[in-house]
Amino acid sequence: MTTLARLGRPSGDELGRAQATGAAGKGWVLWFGELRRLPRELKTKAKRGKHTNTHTYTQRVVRTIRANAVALSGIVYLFIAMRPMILKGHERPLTMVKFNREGDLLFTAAKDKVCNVFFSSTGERIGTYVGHNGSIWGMDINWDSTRLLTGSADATAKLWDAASGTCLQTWEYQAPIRAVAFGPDEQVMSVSQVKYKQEEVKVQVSRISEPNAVAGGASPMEITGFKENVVRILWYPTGEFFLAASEDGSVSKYDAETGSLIHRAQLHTEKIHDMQWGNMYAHFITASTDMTAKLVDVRSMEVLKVYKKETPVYSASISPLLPHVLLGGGQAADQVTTTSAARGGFEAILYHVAYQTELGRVRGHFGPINTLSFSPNGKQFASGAEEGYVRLHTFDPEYFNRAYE
Amino acid sequence: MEEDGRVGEEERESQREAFLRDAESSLLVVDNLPRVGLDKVDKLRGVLLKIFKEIGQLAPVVTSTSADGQAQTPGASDGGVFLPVDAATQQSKGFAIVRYKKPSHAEMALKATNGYQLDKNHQLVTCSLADVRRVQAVTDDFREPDEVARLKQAPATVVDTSAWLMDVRGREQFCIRHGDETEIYWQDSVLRAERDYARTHWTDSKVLWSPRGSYLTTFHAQGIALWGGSAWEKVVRFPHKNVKFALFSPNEKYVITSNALEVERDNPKDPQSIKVWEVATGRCLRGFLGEPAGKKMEWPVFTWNHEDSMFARMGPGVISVYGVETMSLLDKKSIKIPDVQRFTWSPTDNVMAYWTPENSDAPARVTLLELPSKRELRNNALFSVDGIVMNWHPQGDYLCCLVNRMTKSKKGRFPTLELFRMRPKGIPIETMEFKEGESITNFGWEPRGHRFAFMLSDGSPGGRWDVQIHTMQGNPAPGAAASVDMIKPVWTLEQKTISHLFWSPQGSILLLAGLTSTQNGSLEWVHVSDKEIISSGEHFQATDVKWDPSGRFVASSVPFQRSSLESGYMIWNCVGRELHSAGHDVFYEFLWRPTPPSVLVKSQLNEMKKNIKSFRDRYEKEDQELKESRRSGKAATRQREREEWQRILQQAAERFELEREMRMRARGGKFDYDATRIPQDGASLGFRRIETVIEHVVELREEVDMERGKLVNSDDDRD
Repeated sequence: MTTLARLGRPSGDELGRAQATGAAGKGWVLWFGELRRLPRELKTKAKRGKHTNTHTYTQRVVRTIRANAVALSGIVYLFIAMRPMILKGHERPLTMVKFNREGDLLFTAAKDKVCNVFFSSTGERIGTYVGHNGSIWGMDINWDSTRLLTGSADATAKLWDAASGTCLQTWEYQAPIRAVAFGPDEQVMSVSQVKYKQEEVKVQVSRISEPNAVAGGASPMEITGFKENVVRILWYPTGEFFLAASEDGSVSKYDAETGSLIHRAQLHTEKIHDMQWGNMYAHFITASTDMTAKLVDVRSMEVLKVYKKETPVYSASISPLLPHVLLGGGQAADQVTTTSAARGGFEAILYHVAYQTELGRVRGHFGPINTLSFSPNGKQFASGAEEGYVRLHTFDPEYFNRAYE
Repeated sequence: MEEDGRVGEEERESQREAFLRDAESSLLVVDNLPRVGLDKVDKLRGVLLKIFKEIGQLAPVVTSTSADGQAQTPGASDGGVFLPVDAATQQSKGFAIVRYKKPSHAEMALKATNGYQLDKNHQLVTCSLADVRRVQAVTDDFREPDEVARLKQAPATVVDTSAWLMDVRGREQFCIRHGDETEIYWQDSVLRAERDYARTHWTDSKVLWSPRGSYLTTFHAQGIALWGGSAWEKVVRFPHKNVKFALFSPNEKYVITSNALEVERDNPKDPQSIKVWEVATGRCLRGFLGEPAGKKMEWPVFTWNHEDSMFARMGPGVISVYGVETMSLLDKKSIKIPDVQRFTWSPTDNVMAYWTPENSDAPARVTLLELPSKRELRNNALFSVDGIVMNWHPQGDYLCCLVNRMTKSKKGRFPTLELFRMRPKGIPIETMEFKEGESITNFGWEPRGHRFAFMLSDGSPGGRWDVQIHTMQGNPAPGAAASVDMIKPVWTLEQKTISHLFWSPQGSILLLAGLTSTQNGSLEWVHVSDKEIISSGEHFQATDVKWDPSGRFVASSVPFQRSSLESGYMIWNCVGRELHSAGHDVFYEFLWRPTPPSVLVKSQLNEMKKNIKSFRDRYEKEDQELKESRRSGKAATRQREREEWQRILQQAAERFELEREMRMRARGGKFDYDATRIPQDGASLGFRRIETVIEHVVELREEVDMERGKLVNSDDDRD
């Protein structure tokens, strides 16, 4: 892996954004897999100059470089040449990427009805979990990576043996399943059922040992009262409560024992798409169509930080290593064709967690990023997008050596 | 008897009052008469009698019962016109008293004769006795009317429209419109553009700055509104239904609006199409008819002279000049100029230039006309003329007429420049001729200077232009009179792919811009005095380039109609360094706020020029301090944020530690969170890899360069 620090001319758009987010002065931008070159304009000019006079040619080049350097207004753009791994295991838009606890495995779920598991170090696909008959919207991997839980639009949830890929158990529901989550003891799971025909949105907490949560004798705990679909469920590791993020923009905290609502915080004005834990479970981050991601204190449910983007945010992840937050998203899939890739905002954007300013961007996807996640060691991140690719990026040493002041 | 006597007394008293009342209303005082000697008093009275007798029957003023001592003056006895004579000087006192038999006649005469021109130097001032009494009643001591006192006490509600000029940093302002938003920003050379005010749906269609920047005009279905002051309050509004256009007079005293109503649908007695308003009072001064149906209104219909005293419009074969005082045509008639094509006012003098085309026997002419005297200052006869574009120097020193002329065969065209020097006596003209097939565009005078620049093409395809710069103050030719200046070429930049030239408002810097769709918005800053290209830049797809009024900044913008991707604006400094850029999805326009002309007199300016170094040092120090304070302020904010975050993490760690037991319990005691294992690949799944064939996805991508729509090989373009 080579690191190239180079001056180049960003487009006005990038420069504007870098300035707008305060990255100017200290700012730098990460480019993965791309060597930046001198602007084309310079190249053509130089060619033209050659015909007339070599002297003017050099002079012009020098002058243009100077102009470009000045145009940067003090921003040093650092381009890191790094090869991302493109994991092509799905044919349809990704819905979720998730590392296991150790970070050596990457599980991916997509609308093509399958889940995949990859080695995170090499990008090699280990296997595929085949069995669902609809888009897989949610999944969870247990503590020691032995069991995989998936929820699908075919109105079933399945428990898999992670190593062999055999389906151990299937639960049937009346409506498509959106979010699934293991409880901390892995004896219970919570499943969210979407609004479907007469069925209202509900979250069921049931015991995994029961063959079918609905038909089972001990009736599962059912939680209703959501205005819109619950898209993510996060259990607090002590098992006291869990969080449910709904498409109405609210996050609700429920008592795990009784199923009663402890707190509901209206965090966003539009749909929430993703919710992930921060370090030590003290806070979580939500991603929303309202073009923001919010870092929320789990105890008080108060918003600590807000990260703004120019396009909808579909996923946000907190680095376990550095004070960084990564946001992914882009223009809504149905509008993508109306704009160019450059304006779509399909980059993953890195923010400083405390300053809330943009630090850099990672390009590569050509559709909106639906889901992304830092690896547990903070040295990698994976992103899955609408176009069906998962990109697995490993950060360059430069990324860790920089002072983020 | 006593009673009778008293009755008689009362009767007499009432008769006297009636008489006096009558007399009062039938008496006129005629002032501003010539003072004449005793010998001519009768003659003057004769003249006056003749004037006043026409209106009604006169009655003698001085009766025998009159107690006025002066009445006995010989020769002053009257037939209804009494001319008092000063005994000391033996001259008439310069006024007369006229008495009519009927008060109604007196009233008529008052109207008819007031302002009557008696002779060259004397215009009658006629007033009734009541007026005289009223004037006499005025005491010599000035007492403030209650109204004024009240107004003085009332808080000042007048909006200070010049407050923005007192900005400590001397920043410029600009207005942008995008989406439904209208925003006003401060532009500073050190700081980022800072928003001053913004409002959604501020205007229905467009906005317009007044020429001195005091007001921002917004357009609505009901009329236009003027906004100003530091709080952007509504200063005044002018109700004009469906208003489409507005034009301020150069000093912002008046504004002309139009709704482009056709003549046919308008009311000739009360025209609604074009209205002239007084800005200070909000009054409509006059309405005008617009254009007939089928003819598109070419705005501005009216143009103002430089001092807001006259405005003019062109009609078929006439130029109609209106005076502001009277709101009517100068000398009550339009100036007849057969076949007049176009006219322009000088920006600094009451001079108008217009041109007329050739007709059968007369050549085409460019004429300079002084107003309101209508004196012709100069005219220039020209032959084989196809068209003329007149271009005034911003300080009114020169006038350039770009004449498009036909060759003898009338097939080819070639341009000439006719350059008028307005200041020397006789207004000398010089001509520059060009070859057949050549064409000139973008002629521009250097503001505050004596140079001009234009783009010249030899007609060959490719859209390359030579930029030629000439000065009006070239050295005199040997042998010529020493004081005569000549046109002299300064510099030519050859073969430029550009479409526009923009002089800095301060002169000496010229901006070359390629703004057509194929030129990609290339910008080149040229220092004319040093003959050097200072810098170049590019604002992709830019269509508009505007210097700020101080010449410190340049704004380039892309409206969304041109490119929805690039839509937005960019601000550069005067030497082409990019300062700031912003993109907006639906960007309409960028408008610098104009500034009024400097109030400094020449000596003050010279003083400043002399001490430029101390000013520069001071401002540089200020800028430096500002930068540093900003930097340290930012650093302090960051430090605070960092510390706060550290505190949050600290708390999180403490709680995490506290809950360790609980977590362990929740996991059924199986798992210890803190046991660190460094897994091998897949170790957590129980795999042990023996051999792996790694299939790297090696990227050898070909990128589609979206901006230029060409396929670029990644390796090819690296320098």
